[in-house]
Amino acid sequence: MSASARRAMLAAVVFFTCASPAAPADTYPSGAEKPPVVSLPTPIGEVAYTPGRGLHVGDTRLTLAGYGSVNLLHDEGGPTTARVENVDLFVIWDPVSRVHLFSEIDMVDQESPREERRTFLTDRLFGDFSGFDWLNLRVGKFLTPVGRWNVIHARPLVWTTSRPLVTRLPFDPYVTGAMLFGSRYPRAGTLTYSLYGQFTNNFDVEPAPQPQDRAVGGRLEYASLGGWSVAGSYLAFTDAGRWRHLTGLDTLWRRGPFELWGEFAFQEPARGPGRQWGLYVQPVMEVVRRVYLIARYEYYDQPAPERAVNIGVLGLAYKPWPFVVLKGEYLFADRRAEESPPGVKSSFTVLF
Amino acid sequence: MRPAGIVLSTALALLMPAPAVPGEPPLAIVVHPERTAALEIEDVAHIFLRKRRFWDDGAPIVALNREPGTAARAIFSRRVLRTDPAQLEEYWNHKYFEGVFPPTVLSSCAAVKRYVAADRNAIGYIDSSEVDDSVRVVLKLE
Repeated sequence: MSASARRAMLAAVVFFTCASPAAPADTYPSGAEKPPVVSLPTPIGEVAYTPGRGLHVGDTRLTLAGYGSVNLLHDEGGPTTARVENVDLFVIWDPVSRVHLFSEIDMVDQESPREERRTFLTDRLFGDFSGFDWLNLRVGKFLTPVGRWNVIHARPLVWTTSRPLVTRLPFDPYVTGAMLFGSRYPRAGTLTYSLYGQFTNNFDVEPAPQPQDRAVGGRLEYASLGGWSVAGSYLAFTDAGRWRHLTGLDTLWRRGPFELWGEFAFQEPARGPGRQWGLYVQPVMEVVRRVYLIARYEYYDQPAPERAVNIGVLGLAYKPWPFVVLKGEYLFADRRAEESPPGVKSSFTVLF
Repeated sequence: MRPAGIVLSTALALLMPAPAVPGEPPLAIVVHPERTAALEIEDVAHIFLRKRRFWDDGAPIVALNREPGTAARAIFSRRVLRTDPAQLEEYWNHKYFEGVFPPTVLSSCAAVKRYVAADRNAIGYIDSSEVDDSVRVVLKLE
């Protein structure tokens, strides 16, 4: 055995000896709802990993987290493809209570077999500076707060492998700029506003259907403690020098094992033709413990010469643990749309 | 029932805490004795869902949870948060995507009481029988 191999083995022995399953303690690492599965005492505090809640780095207030997704797709009349769709790393740092720094790095990103695989793309990079609950400032690159799906689009957080067209075609999913946001608390719910603007080109831009160079928008959401929410969004942005306007509505309703999602968006240029709009409705039902039945109807109408498309999705999702989701669905359509081809779509997704 | 009556009944159902189950130990929501703010049950829910993060004086709120699986945690989730563990797990998964984590978890009522007594910005919940002068009760769940 070589000297380097012996050193590697010794290091592994030392690591696994010191990094033990966490012993009961008064306090869990910040942010962990469960005891960590592995913890390691270090000079900077306990470094602990909890599945689905990331790696907390001692007393530094730094957390490394992320998610991954592997897809198996079979488009009608096409090949069967298996690939790693996403591996995203989060770096989260809360140095003081009023400052929240966040980055999401796409280590691997290939949303479609026909797309080029991208690596090391900065999906999000922003800092939140909190004054009050009703007034916070975000600066950097962040998810465009239009609709509901876009702001939680990570594969382990949504019910299907496929994504509704209305949540990605009519607007750029990211904004690079600044946002004011905050909440007030009418008796039984939360009223949250956001006002944002983009005044530079998007940072670390990836190909987007309608890249926006300048944008201004807002969103207002009411979320009830009773399990339902409704929101409206508005976005004005430039596309090749022309202004476009988007308005949207979205809603979520939960009752016991049943939930219902819905979104609508309408986008048109300030002048001339080119209107597009769409909607989806998605009921989800827990049929047996941890197994969910999902159905979705979508309609999307794009500018000519593209025709409108009606899409149906029927699928199942299984959550053996809260941080793992296995999904399988069949997508039907009344015509073959490049952006959402019919066929079988399945995925294995995990929150790290 | 007239529509107005239906609306009123629904609103009252949403505003009222979930009813206690016979035999459940009463819980007390406690804060540091120097903190004099009055809190409603909805305020406590917003705090423990990390939707509200600051006291009225601008100080950051330190919310303290009990471990999942304990009776106190189950009672609190059901009566204050009005949600089941699976929905709550999904809620925190969504917040995780924003880099927001659940409140700190402490492993005993005694630990919660010690922490709250020592930190002016802390809020937690303990068995009512454990309340003493080191903490102030803002809400009782009986």
